[in-house]
Formats: sequence, C-alpha cells, structure tokens
Amino acid sequence: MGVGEVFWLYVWLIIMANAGMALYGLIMRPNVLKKIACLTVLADTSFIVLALIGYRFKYPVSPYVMTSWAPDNATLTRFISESVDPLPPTLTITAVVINLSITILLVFLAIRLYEVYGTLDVKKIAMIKKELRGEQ
Amino acid sequence: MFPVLHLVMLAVVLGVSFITIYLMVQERDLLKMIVLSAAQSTFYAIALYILLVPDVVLAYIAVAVGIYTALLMFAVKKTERFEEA
Amino acid sequence: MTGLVAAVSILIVLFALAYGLVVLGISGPPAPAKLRLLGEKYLYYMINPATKYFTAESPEGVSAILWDYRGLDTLYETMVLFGAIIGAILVYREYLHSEPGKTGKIYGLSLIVRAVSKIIIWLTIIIAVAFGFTGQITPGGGFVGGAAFAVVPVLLALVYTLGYARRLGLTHRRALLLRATFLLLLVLVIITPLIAGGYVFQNQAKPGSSFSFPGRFIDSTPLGGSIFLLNLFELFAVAGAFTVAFILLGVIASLKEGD
Repeated sequence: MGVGEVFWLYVWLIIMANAGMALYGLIMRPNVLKKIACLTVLADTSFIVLALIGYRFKYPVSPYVMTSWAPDNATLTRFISESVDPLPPTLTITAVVINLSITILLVFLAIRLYEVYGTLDVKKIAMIKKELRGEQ
Repeated sequence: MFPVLHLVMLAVVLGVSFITIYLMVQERDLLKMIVLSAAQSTFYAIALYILLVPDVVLAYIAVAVGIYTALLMFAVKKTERFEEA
Repeated sequence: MTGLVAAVSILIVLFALAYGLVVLGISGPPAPAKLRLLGEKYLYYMINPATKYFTAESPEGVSAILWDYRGLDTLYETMVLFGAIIGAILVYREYLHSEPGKTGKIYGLSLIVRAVSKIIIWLTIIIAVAFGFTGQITPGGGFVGGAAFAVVPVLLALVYTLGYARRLGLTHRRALLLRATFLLLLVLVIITPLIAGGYVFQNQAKPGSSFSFPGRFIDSTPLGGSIFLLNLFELFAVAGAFTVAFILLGVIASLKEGD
C-alpha cells in the first residue's frame, strides 16, 4: 500500500467518522436545535465528498476558471489537463442553497414547536403528547 | 511524486474538524455548540479551498459561518439555552 | 432500544458509503489522470470562440453550467428557496402585522460598535454587489452575492435593533417585493429568446435561432450573455429572501422580550 492509498484511506475514514458523528447527534440528542445543527454538519460533509469527487490528485492542478478570454487550442488543452471537474461544485452550490432553505424552515418550525409545547426536548414532547392523549 | 504540502494541510484540517464535531455533539450549552459549529464550518471551508472549489468556498463561508450562526442564535434566544441529558 | 436502532442505522449508512466509494470506485483511484468526459466537455466549450453554437462566453466554469448548460435546475432551486421563505411566513403570518419596536429610538450596542458596523455594512453591500457583477469572470455570482448580502439585515437587527431598521424603510413587505420583482425579471430574461423566436433559456446563438445575448462588453470583456443578467437579478432576489427571513426572526425575538 503506497502513500497515496494511505492518504485516501485516512481522508475517507475521517469523512465517515464525521458523517457518523453527525448522524449520532441527529438521532440520539434530544434537543431539536442540536438536531438541526447536526443535520447541517451532515450536509457539509457531503459537500466535502462532492469536492473530493471532482478533485484531481495531481500537480499542477488549477480551479475551473479560464484566465485567457480568447483561448486557442493549446491553451484549452493545457487548461483541461490541469483543471478540476466543474460539475460537482455546481451541484454543491445548488445543495448549499437548498440546504439553507430547509434549515430556515426547520428553525421556524422549531420555534413554533417551543411555543406549543414549552420545550425543545423531544423526549419531553413525547411525554406531554402521551399525557394529553391519556386525558382525552 | 509531486508536491504534497496542500494535501498534508487537507489531512490536518479534516482531522481538526472531526475533533470539533465531536466536541459540538457532546456540548450541552447550545450557544457554545453554535460557536463550535461555526469553527467546524471554518475548517471545512479551508478544506474546500484546498480542494479548489472557490465558488463553493465563498457561498459556504457566508452561509455556514454567517447565516446558520445568526439563525441558530436567534432561535436559542427565543427558546431554551441548555440541553438536558 | 433507541441506541441500538441508531447504531444499526449509522453502521448501515457508513458501510454503504464505504462500499460505494472505495470498493466500487465512484470517485476512482486517488490519482485520476484523466478528467471525466462530461466535465471535460464543459471545460472545452464554455469559452471557445471556435465552437459558435456551444459556447457560453463565460470563462468561469460554475457560472456557465449553473446559468447556461443546466439553467433549469438553478431556476427550480431558486423556486425552492422562495417556497421555504413563503412557508416560514405562513407559519408566522399573524405576528408580522403586530408592528413591535415602533419607538424608533436607537438603543442597540455602544457608539463604537455602531460606527464600525456602519462601515462594515457598506463594505458588505459593495462586496456582495461586486460578486454579482463579476460572477461570469471570477468565482462568485448570484447566490454568493445574495448570501453575503444577507449579513446586512443581521447586522442591522443586532447592532441597531429592528425598530431602527424599520424606520430606515426596511420592512418585510418591501423585501418581499424586491424578491418578487427580481424573480419576475429573471423569468423575463429566461423567456426573452422565446419571444424573439428562439428557445427557452437560450444564451448564445443556436442552430435554428440566431438570437443571442451580448457575449462581450465593449472592450471584449466576457459578459456571458444572459449569465450576467441572471447573476445580477439572482443577487437581489436571494438578498430579498434572506432579508424577509431575518426580519421575521427579529420580529419573533422582540415579541418574546416584550411579553
């Protein structure tokens, strides 16, 4: 196993650990705001994965921005041989905005939840719901 | 073999981000959790910068460090600050 | 019991991740020598004077894909953001008409903070608009500029209080009007080629339709045709959406204190 494989394995293990930690917080932690924060962390980890998919482990490597405004064929060939893939970043920007709108809506709903139940702890909310059902 | 300093930086930044996420999930004070979440976003932004996606870095910095933090701060101010066990 | 379920689900997700990306090699080995074919084509065509029918006249790859090659995706993404804001307003509709903090008195943070924030607010506006204007040449663009713009209402609400922001004329109705206006302009830019006899979301000339947005500025700076206009309109649309969201949050937060 060469240095490249060890590095790739390390990066991938870190990403899996981050995703697993975010999932743990999302499922096991009772507070709704912490669940929302863990959800954003999970989404951010997926952005890192997308960036890794588009990246090229070589040198020199450049971003997808053309510096020449009237490129000829030689410039284009060199640019394509150096540049990273532009498609994953595009999907990532879409994902950032969609994730942001989801988070805004979730935070508003969480505040509404607090107004109705007086707590953001999902275990307490479940108990209150059970009591309400028992009274009826 | 090519220059690998940026890849070493990537490895370090990702490792530190894991520690930050661990601390964030453990934290009971939600305000501290939000600050740790912003720190984690900063490390992720550095990683994205090393991975050469400048558009995503600009959007991500503004969204994750600015808007998420403000949004969750407002929400914590409106609701409760501490998470029970 | 919950712990067991959590452990099992986390393990399943992690194994799927590991299997999908390492064993099947979706991202390939650690050193892909060649680019994927689709990405290579985008990079080849995005500013290529030799291929008249495929170029987007934008030297920035992401902007070219975002607003030209895969424009419809981005349009629907904008719609999703609009829907989220409308949903948030629907949840809190009755509070928006209660008009809290109408004293108009500045009782925010200290004078030094307010003076520094004034400079930072203007700088943020300049940077955000610059992102929108140069999105087709350098990294940046509509979403980035709009997200940077959203820092302004947050700073206004935190440092100057919401009442002062309202006295400046920053109301949720105006922000929503800004959002709707620029979304309409966006749609107008999208259907202009259709009116001129071309295709929807057409940027440069295509076979069967010679309509083309101006690809270059006077001094041959790339304009990206419709990409420039769409970036600019998207900037103000996104800024309006976030301003509505933060005004709403500020109203809710101040109501809690007043009660």
